[in-house]
Amino acid sequence: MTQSKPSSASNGGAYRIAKGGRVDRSQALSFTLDGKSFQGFAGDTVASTLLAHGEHLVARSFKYHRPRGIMAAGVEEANALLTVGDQGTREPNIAATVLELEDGLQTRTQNAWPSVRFDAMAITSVLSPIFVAGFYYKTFMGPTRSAWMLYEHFIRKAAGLGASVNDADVHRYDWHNDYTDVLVIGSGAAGLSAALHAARAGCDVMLVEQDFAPGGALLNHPVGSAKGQWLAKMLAELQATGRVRMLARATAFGVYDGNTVGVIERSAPGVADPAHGMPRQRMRTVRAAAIVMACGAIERPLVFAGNDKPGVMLSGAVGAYVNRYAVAPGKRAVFCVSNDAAYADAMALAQAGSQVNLVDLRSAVRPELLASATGAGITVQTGSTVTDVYGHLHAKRCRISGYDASTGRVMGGLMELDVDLVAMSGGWTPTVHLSSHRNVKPVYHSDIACFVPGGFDRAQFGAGAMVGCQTWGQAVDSGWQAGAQAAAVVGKQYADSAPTLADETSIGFVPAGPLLSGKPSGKAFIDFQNDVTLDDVELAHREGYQSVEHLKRYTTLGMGTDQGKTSNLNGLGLMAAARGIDVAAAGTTTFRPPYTPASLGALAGRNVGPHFQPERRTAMHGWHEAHDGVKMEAGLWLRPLWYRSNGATLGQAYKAEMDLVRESVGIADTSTLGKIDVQGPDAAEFLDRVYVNGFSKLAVGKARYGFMLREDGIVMDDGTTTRISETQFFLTTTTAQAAKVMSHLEFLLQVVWPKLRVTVASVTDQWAAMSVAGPRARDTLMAAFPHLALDNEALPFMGLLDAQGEGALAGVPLRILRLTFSGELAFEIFTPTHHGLAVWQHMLEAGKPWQLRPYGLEALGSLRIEKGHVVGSEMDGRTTLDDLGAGKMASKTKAFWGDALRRSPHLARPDRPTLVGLEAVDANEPPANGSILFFADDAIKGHGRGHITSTTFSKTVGKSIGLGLLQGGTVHIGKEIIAASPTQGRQYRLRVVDPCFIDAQGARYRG
Amino acid sequence: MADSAFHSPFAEHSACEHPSRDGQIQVRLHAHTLPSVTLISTWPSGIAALCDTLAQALGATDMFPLPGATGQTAPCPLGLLMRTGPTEFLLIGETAADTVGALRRHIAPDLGAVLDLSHARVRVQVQGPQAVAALGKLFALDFREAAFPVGRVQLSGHHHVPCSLHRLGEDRFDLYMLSTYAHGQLEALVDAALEYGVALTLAPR
Repeated sequence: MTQSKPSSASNGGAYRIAKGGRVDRSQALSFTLDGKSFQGFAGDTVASTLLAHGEHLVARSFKYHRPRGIMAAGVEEANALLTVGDQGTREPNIAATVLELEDGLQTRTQNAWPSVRFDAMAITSVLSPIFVAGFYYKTFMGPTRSAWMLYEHFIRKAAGLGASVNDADVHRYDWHNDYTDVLVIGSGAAGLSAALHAARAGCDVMLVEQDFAPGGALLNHPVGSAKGQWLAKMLAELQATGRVRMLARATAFGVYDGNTVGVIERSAPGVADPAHGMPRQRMRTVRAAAIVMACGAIERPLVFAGNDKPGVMLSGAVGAYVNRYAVAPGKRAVFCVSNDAAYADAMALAQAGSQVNLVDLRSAVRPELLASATGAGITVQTGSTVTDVYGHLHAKRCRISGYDASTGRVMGGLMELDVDLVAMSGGWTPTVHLSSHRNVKPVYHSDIACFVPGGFDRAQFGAGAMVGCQTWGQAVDSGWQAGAQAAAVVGKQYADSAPTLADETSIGFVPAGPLLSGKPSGKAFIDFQNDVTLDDVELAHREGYQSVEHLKRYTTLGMGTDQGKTSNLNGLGLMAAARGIDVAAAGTTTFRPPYTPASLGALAGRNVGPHFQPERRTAMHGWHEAHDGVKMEAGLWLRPLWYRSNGATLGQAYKAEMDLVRESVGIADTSTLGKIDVQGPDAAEFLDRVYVNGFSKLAVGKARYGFMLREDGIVMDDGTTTRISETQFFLTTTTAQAAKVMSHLEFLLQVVWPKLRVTVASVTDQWAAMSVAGPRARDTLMAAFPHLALDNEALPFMGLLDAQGEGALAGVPLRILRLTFSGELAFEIFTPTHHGLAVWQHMLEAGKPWQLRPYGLEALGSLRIEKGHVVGSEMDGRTTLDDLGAGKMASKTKAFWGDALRRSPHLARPDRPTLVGLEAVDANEPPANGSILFFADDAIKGHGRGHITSTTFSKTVGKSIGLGLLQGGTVHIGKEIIAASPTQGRQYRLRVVDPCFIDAQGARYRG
Repeated sequence: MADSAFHSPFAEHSACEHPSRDGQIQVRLHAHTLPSVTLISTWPSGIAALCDTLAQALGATDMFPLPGATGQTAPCPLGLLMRTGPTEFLLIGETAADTVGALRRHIAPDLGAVLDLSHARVRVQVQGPQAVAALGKLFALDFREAAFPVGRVQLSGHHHVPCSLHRLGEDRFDLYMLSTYAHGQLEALVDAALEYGVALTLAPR
C-alpha cells in the first residue's frame, strides 16, 4: 500500500476527520482489500474508507499497468475498480467510489500481479513509447489473417480490467414493472425541486437516485450548512406529500421508446437473501407519463503530466470526502482549478486541518472569493497551473508554473511543492447521456464550455446542471419549472413559487478556453481508464483519425466501464484544437445505454433456471414423468421423446415403440396439437378460402386433411378439420404452428374478410388428446368403451364420434376421430383437459391384453417418415404444395389464400427440389439430417441438388430411410445418389424411392 | 362425474407457506379449476344483435347492464360476465351447469358462437398487501386505481403467455390462466411473491 501510516481503530482511519460528515460513527463496519482488513462506518464507501486509512493505490492501469488511485467520489471513477466477492458472488470492475461499505465485504485489486504495489506487468510502462494508439492494429496484422487469434490470447492476458466470472451467480435478481406520472432522475437540488412541484400538483412521482443517499451534490456540503439544511427540509417536504416514491441505489441506465426507462436498483447492504426471495438487484422497467432528467454534471480533470498518479483527484471528490465522509484525503494539498466552485473544496480541506495551496488558471479571481480562501489559510496563486506531478506509487511533489489562460501557454516554472494530494478541476460536464439515448444530439455552449442536451423527447424535461444551470438557485428554479411541465403532461398544476436555495455559488462551469495547461513533459492522460494520453490523441490526428467516432475507435477513448465520463470532453476539445475547429463542430460520439454498467444478472432478473421460459404441460405430463418419459422441448411444451420403460437407450426404445404401433397398439400424447374452434354461418366459406382444398361440401361428422398457404404461396401448415355441425368446425394444426395459424386466421377475419360471419377461438387448452394406433387399436377402444359402436361402418376412416364415457368415466366427453399419422389403424381421442389423465389411464388399462404402451416423439416421427407424411422439416417455410407432392390437393374451382402467388414462375420452376423417399444402399446408419444430395457423377461441392429433411432407421423396411427434397423429385426413383454431410465430413449412398415406404394403398388404416 | 376422472393442472403443486424474512405472509394464493367458462363471441356486424339477445338471456336491465366496453365486468345470474373484447364475452360460472346449452337456446348460430372453455381456463386468486407488488413483477400493467379500477378485467401476459386479471379489491385479484400454462405460471407467481412471504392453497379441483 502506498502509505504506511497506521490506521486508528477508534476513528475509522488516520485520515478520518474527528467530527462531521454523514457517516454513522456508531456503526463500525469492516471489509478486506486483498485480505487486509479496513474499518469504516455505515455511510462510507469502500473508497472513503480506504482514503480514511491513507490508502490511495488500489489499481493498475489498463494498458501500461501504471499505479492508480482513487480519483473521484462517484460513478465517474475511472481508476479504482475492484473485484468484489468470491466465486458465486464475484463481480469485477466495481468502482470503489460507489461501493457502499458492508460488513464482511471482500474486495480485491485487479489487473496486477503479484500485487498493485509491485506489478510485474509494469514493464509495459517502460515500453510505453511503442504502445501508442493503434499499436495493436499496426503490429499484429500478419503474417496470416488468423494470426491475430494467437496474439489476442496474450494481449488480453496482459491488458484488461477484472477477470470475468465463470461460477454460477448465487444471488437472486428480480424484475419489476413500474408506472408513474412523473419520473424524476436524480435527487440533487434540481431533481428534488422538480419532484416537489410534481407531487404538490398531485402527480404520482418516482424519484430515482443512483447514490445510496438522496441529495446529489448537496451531500457534499456539511450537514449544518445552508445546502445541508435545505436538503433535509426538501426531503421532509417530499415525504409529507405522500406522493413521492423515492428509490435510492437506483440507476436509470437507459431511456427507451414511449418514456420507458430502465432502472437498476441495488439492495442495501445485508438485504440480499436468496432463501427469502430478497434480490441483490432489481431491474425496474419504469413507464412514466413524463420524465424530468436532473442528472447533474461531472467534473473534468485537467491535463498535465502525471495527472493519473495516486493522490491526484478531482477537486469535487476532495470536497465530497471531507464533507460527506469526514475524510481528509491529504495533509499537504495543491488544488489546480479553473473555476470558483473548486474553492469550496479547498476551503473544506483546509478547515479539516490540511495545508492547502491553490493555483488558479485564471488570471483574476473575485476578490471576495480570494479573501475567503486566504481567510481559510489557503495560499492562492492566480495565473498558474500544475504542470507535473512526481512520485511513483503516490504523488509526492508537484511543479507549478505560470499560465496565460488567454493563450493556454505555460509561462515557465515557478516552484515545486511537496504534496500528498493534488486536486484538479477543469470545470464540469453536464451528464447528457440519458437525453441522448433518445437520439437527441447534445449541443455545445461555448459560454460554459460544455455540451448540454439539444432538446428532449416528448414529455421529457431537463433541469439543473444537466441543462447548464450555473448556480444552485438556477438549478432549483429550473427543477421547479421542469416539475411543472411534467405535471402538465398529466393535466396537473401547482401555483406556488419555487423553494428558495439562496446560494448563488457557481456550480463550476467554466467559460470557453483552453483545456490544456500547456504541453506536458511526461504522460498526461485524457482517458484514465483506457490509458489514452494527450500524445495518443495527437497521433490519431496526425494519422487521419479526426472524426470523433474514429478517434474513439482508434484510441479507445471513451470506452470501458466509465464510458468517457471524465475524458470525452477533454478528448473532443483536444481533437478540435488539433483540427483548428470549434468543439461544437467536432460533435460528440453517440451515447448509448447503459449509462453505468448494468449487471447481466439484473437484466435477466428471475428469468433464469426453471423461469427462463414458460413451460407448457399436457394433462398427462405428470404421468410421463412418473413413467420414465424422457422429456424434450417442443416449442414451450415438454413432450416425452421416448420412455425408458421401452428400452435402455433412445435407439432401442424408439424401435420398440415403433414395433408396438406396427404390430399391436401404442398410445401417444398428442395434446400439443393446435386446436381451433371455427363457428359461424360463413365458417365453411372461410375454410374454403383458407385451405387449398374445399370444406363447404364436407359432411357433418367427417374430417378432412388440408394444407393452408401463406400469401406468397408457400405452405404454412397442414392439419385435419372436422365438421361438428353445419356452422361449426374443429380444426387441428401442427404443434409448432398452432399460434401462427391462429394469428393467421384472426388476421384474415379482421383485415381481409371482415364481413365474413365467423369466429375463431383457440381450444388447445380445452382438449387433451391421445392417439391410439396399431392393428389392435380398435380392439383397445372397444374394450375401453364397450358402449360405443366403433366398427368401420359406425366410425369409418376420417369419421367423428362425439360421445361420453361410462363407468368411472361417466359423463366425461369424448371426441373420437379416426385419423392416422403413422399409417396404421388409429384413433385420436380428445377429451376435456382435466379428464385427459383419467382417459389416458383408462386406455392403458383397456389395452393391456394387447400390451398397449406409450410411444414418444421419436417413434412418432419415425412412423410418419415410413408413411411419407410431411411435418415442419419438410414444410420449412420454403416449400410449395407441388414441392411436397401435394399439388393435386389444390382446388381448381375455388380461390384460396396463396393461390395466386403459388403460380408465380419462380415457384413453378421445374428444377425446384421436390419430395422423395430415400433409402440407404450400403449402410444401416441413417445419414445426417440436412445432408446435401448429389447425383453420383456430381462434384461434391456447393448446394447440390437438394437435401435430406428427415431420417430414421425403419425396421419395417429393414434399412435406414429418409425423406428429402431433390431436384426432379420422383422422376429419379431407382437412381442411386450421394448424400454428403459437410458438418460430419461423411458421404452416404442412397437410392431414390417413393416417399411412402409402407402400405401405399392404405389397407392398414382403412381396415 | 367421479373425482377420479378429474385432474387439476395444479395437481403437481403442493400447498405451501414461505414466510418473508421478517416472518410475514403478505401474498396469499389460492388455485383451482373452474366449473364453467363460456366464450360468447360474434363477428363485427353481429355485436348489436348478440348484445340484445345476451341481455335478454341473462336478464340484464338498465340497472344491471351488460359490460359495455372491453375490460368491464358485470355479475349475472349465470355468473360473472366479462367483456374480453369488442365482440366477445367470457362468462365465468361458479356451478357446473350446462351454460353452453342454456345460452344456445337463445343465441342461434347466426347470432354468434357459444363455446365451452371450462377446461381451458383456471383461476388463481391473489390477495394481500403485497399482491400488487408481486403481480407487478410478472405483468406490465399499471395497477394504480385510476388505470385499473376495482371490477375491471385486463388481459396481460407473462413471458408473452396470456393471463387475464380481474381486480376484486385494492389488493385482491382473480387471475385467469390458460390451463396448459397454469402450472408454470403459478410457480412463477409463488416465486415472485417469495420476498413478501407467500402462502399457497389448492382446491381439490
